[in-house]
Amino acid sequence: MLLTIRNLSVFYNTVVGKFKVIEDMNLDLEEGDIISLVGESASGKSTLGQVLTRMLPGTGSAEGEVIFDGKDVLKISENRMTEIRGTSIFMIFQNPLNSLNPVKTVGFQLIEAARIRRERDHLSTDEAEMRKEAEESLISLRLPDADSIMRRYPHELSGGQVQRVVICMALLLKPKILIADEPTTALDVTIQAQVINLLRTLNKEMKMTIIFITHDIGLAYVLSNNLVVLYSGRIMESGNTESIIKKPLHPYTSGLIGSIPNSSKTSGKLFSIKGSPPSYLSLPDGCKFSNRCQFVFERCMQEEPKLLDVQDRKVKCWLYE
Amino acid sequence: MIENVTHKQEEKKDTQGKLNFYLKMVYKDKTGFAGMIIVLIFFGWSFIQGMLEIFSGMFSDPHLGSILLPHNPFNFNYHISMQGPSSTYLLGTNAEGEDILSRLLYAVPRDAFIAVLVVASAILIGAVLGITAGYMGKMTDEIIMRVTDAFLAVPALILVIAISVVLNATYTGAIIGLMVVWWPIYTRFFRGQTLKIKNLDFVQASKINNVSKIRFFFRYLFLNDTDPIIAYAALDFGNVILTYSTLAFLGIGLTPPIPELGSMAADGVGALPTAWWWAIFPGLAILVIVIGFVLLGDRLQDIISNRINY
Amino acid sequence: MQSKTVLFIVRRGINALITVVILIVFLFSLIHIIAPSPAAMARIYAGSPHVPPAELLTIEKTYGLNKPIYEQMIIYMVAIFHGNLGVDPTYKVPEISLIAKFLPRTLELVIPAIILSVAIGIFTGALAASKRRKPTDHVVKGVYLATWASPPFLVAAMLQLFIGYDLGLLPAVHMVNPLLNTPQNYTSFPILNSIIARDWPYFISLIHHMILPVIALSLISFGIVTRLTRSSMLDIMETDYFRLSIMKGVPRKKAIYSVALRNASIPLITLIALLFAYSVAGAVIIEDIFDYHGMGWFIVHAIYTLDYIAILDTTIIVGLSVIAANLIADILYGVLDPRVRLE
Repeated sequence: MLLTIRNLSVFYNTVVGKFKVIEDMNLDLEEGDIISLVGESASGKSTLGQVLTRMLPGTGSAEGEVIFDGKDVLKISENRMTEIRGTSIFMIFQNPLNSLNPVKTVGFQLIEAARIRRERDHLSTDEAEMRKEAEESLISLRLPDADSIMRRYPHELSGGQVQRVVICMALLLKPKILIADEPTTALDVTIQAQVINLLRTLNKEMKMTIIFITHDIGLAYVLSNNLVVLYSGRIMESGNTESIIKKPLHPYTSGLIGSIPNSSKTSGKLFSIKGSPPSYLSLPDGCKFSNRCQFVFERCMQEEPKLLDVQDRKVKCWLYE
Repeated sequence: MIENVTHKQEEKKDTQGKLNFYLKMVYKDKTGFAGMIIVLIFFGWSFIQGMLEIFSGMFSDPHLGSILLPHNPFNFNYHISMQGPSSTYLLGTNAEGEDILSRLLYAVPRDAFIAVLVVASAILIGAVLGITAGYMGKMTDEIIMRVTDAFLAVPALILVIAISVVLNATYTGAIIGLMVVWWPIYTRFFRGQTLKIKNLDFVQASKINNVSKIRFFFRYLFLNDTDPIIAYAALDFGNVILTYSTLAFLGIGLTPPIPELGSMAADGVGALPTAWWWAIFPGLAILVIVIGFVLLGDRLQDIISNRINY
Repeated sequence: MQSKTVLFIVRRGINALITVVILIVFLFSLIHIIAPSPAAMARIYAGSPHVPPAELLTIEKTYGLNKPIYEQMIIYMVAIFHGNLGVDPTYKVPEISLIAKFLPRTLELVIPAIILSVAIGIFTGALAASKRRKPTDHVVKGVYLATWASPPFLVAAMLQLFIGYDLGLLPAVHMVNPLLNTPQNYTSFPILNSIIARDWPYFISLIHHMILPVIALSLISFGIVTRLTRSSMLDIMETDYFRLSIMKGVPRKKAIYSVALRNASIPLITLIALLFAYSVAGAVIIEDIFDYHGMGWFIVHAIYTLDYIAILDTTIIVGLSVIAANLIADILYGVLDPRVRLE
């Protein structure tokens, strides 16, 4: 097992008090996997990415175990963690426009990544060699004008170009796990497809394990082989992507799937889950989805369900007990 | 009609809730709380002592003004000239043998009065000019903002000095100088806020109700968007007190024999190596008062910009 | 791009010019409000209320005080742009020569003070940002809030008392040892003069006397730099690109200094004009306390003698230099940071 998460809880301190954004989460990740974390905003999916790289904002704190390569990421020293970041676990962010340092050239930032990889591998850090490597990586990402892009500043590139530059960093760093936090949300649909394809290539050719964080269950279906559905910081359903999409068990998952616009549907009506996710300040007792669930019954509102093994997957719902 | 009433009640409730929230937040932070306590003591003392001073003038009874003070602040006694701090004269005496602590306490209400007057007038002028500029736009906006820029170009202290000296460096001159110089920042602020809300849907909609728009802006900005102003104003009381004490230090705006924090320090600087308490304690008194406002304002700004716990 | 930059500079220049004109009009009206009649104005120019009427008439003639007010205003403005600020009623010499004498001395204080406060401010701000919410952060905040809330005369008096008098380390008053002979006046800057004349004792004495006022000035103004450095570093530390560079495996400390501090220092350029304004205002008090004969000392004396002409002229000169400093800072910022949108 490449990554094991056990009993993970994450807290945030705010003006109005301390609250839990992830509760008691367990998750396993195998090498070469592509796993998707799906959920609405504030479901804790981005927080999970930040915990794995130990980049929680200062107000956050985490309990539990996150075992990567035999080490508990939550307990090792900051220096050890720095060594893990980049070359072992790397994360790309949602908004490409802010992902690069605006006052440094693209080339500088790519070479910096190449240098980190080479220093850790005890390879030569010859400037010209690293520049060549960066340029080649850019070309392999279908950015043919590599030489000119290297000399430009981030604000002179388009969003899609910047996102590919960031993926190029991943290519140079060759991490074991790549966390992609909504990497396509801010992009055009055509460029979205390109980025998704790039991620798939990284997974196939470099054996990179990918954690894909998204609110779009359709994208998750296209890309990943495993799926985790999050709601209010809890796993609602997890298992094989194909089988979940074909036959969702949790009402929330069905709702997510139902809200995908689908031109082949005859009704032409777009389904949406009624209401909005509850604030962490006023979570319902019992099942956290109970106030929006169409199958809700007495027990749901009193007692929170456990994660149950149902068929080939895990579901947190009383319907299946 | 009924709707209107409930709306107003809700508004009132909302403001009250906000106030409670702020108080709670300020209370939670040790430094912000300390600032609030200093500010409360400052204003409380200024009110009581200020009233006594006014009554003492009204009834021409000099005792009334110093009834709460440890000594008579105007008691010349050359036998005890320039005595260091002692149990009788906690902060020492000056060359005339007057008790420095009593003089400090006597001087404080005037600073409170000026701070409130100047900040209030600045908010008022700033609101009128800023909202007009933001609402009218075009030439009006351009003219108002260029004038505002011109006033911001010269350091406030220098411009206040110029204005008050031209007005013969009197007390009124100092106050007018401060009032003339203090409004530009608030004008900029109100203009920005006005521009921000000008295009909101419900502002556009209020046309139909035939509500006078300018009136609406005032109502709206004063009821809903005062938070950043309150935080800035809290800091700004301190700035006014600092600037006024600096003017007094330079001999502007004095009405002898009434003591003034800044002019006490100015007198003391001449006696510096020996009678250090004479210059240093009035300076420290200003420092403590201003730090109260700075801590409170800083905390309020943190709350408003949601930087709590950072 | 190039023409856009030029346009930007021209625009800022025009705005600055308008600001100057408004300022002069305001000060002109101010003095005419308190002296509404030509005779009252003439008394101000004469520097004394007791002047024989015949003399008043000649003054009215020479200054054109009986002309229509708008004409006077234009004459006044043209004169200012020609560097003619009138004759000082107290010293009986052209105002501009007095300012030319005193302003350089103040600049000799203000410029080192700005450099020092930027240095202290960046250092403390970076320290506070990197140790955010730790004791260091709170100590830095406490120190800069305290200096911020201090009246300038308290800072100056404390320095004078402890370092000048108690410890006797540095001279507490004067600009230079009064027993030394002044070197020839090559430039208006005493320090440059002493260097040109190779008068080292004089030079060392000048530097000795400068230290305390410069420290006092930078103490009262470094807080703004600390605050801005800290807050813009914290803002940058929350951006995706900062997090991405840590994500890449750059050690946190290195990222704080090479990314956050570096990027935060660009907007600091705009602060320099503000610091300049702050320090010039502070110099009024500081020079008075340290008996340092510069522009601030000159202003204080004009207050004592109610010398309106000197006060208004110094205000114009200070305004002009602050507007110029602002203009330069604006242009520098626009040129240095390509992202600044050129309006």
